[in-house]
Amino acid sequence: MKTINQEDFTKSLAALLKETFESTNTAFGTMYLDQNTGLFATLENINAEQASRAVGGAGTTIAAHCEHVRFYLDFLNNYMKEDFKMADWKDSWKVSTVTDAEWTALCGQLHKAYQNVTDTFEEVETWNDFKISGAMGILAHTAYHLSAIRQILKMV
Amino acid sequence: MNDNNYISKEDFLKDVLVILRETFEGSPEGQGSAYLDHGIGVLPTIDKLSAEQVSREINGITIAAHTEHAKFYLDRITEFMKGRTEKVNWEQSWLIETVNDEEWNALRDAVRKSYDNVLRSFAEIETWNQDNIGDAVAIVAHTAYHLGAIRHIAKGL
Repeated sequence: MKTINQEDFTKSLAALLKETFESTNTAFGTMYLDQNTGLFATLENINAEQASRAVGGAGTTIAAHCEHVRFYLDFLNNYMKEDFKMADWKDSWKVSTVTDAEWTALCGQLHKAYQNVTDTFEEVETWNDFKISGAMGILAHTAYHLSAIRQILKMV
Repeated sequence: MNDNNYISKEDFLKDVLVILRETFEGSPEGQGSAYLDHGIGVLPTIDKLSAEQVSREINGITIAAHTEHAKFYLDRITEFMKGRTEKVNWEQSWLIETVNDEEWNALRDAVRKSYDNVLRSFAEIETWNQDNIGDAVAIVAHTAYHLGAIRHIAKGL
């Protein structure tokens, strides 16, 4: 067949995105993460002081990874809405340490950015080449940084 | 149903293959990347590491363990895409902790072979449905996740 039922793609994408951000707790198990290891479940138990600690050889903080993920989400969300603004990716790594208030705000912004992405996905009428590619990028990029965050968490 | 109920198989396959290639091989020189810096991918990353480095335990885990786990997942999901129904004992994916030079070379070759098998399997699929789309996208997400861990651990070696 030269076509794919759009719902087959969007349902799979939504399930994997939900697992990555919200974790999955169904009787059917997970597709690639251990239960309760999604981004938001991971961040829930981290405070500003832990998120600001630069540990290990990489020297990057959890706060830095979170801001970078948020920046990427916002950029890709605009891209999927055909708002093709250029980004200076160095700006995505400007945050290193956070106060309690900044950490609460950053976690809130991450939730908001995720909500915006899921809203955008729901609004897509036709999943074409660049929209599929944008969605896959969001998934893979978040998975990559979630893993780094969980590695750092072992040390803070 | 109108056209909006369908997506082009060619678009889907092209995008999955582009991001899979970036995840394993890194993005091609001179071209944009979807989510990784240039030169970063599973294969160039593990090629630069020695058996001794990947056997060093950092925070309770080694790069060799992550590599074997990622390879095991690739093999099993490829089997599921070809019709496997038997359950998998995922604990077996974590049996390797340390490797000698010979074992590390063999593991790196096995990862390449598993990646090639995935590409071949994708090409053979006639009908993409919710199950095999989910498997294909999960392969990308799972590999990206463990690549993130491997590269983070490598920075601390």
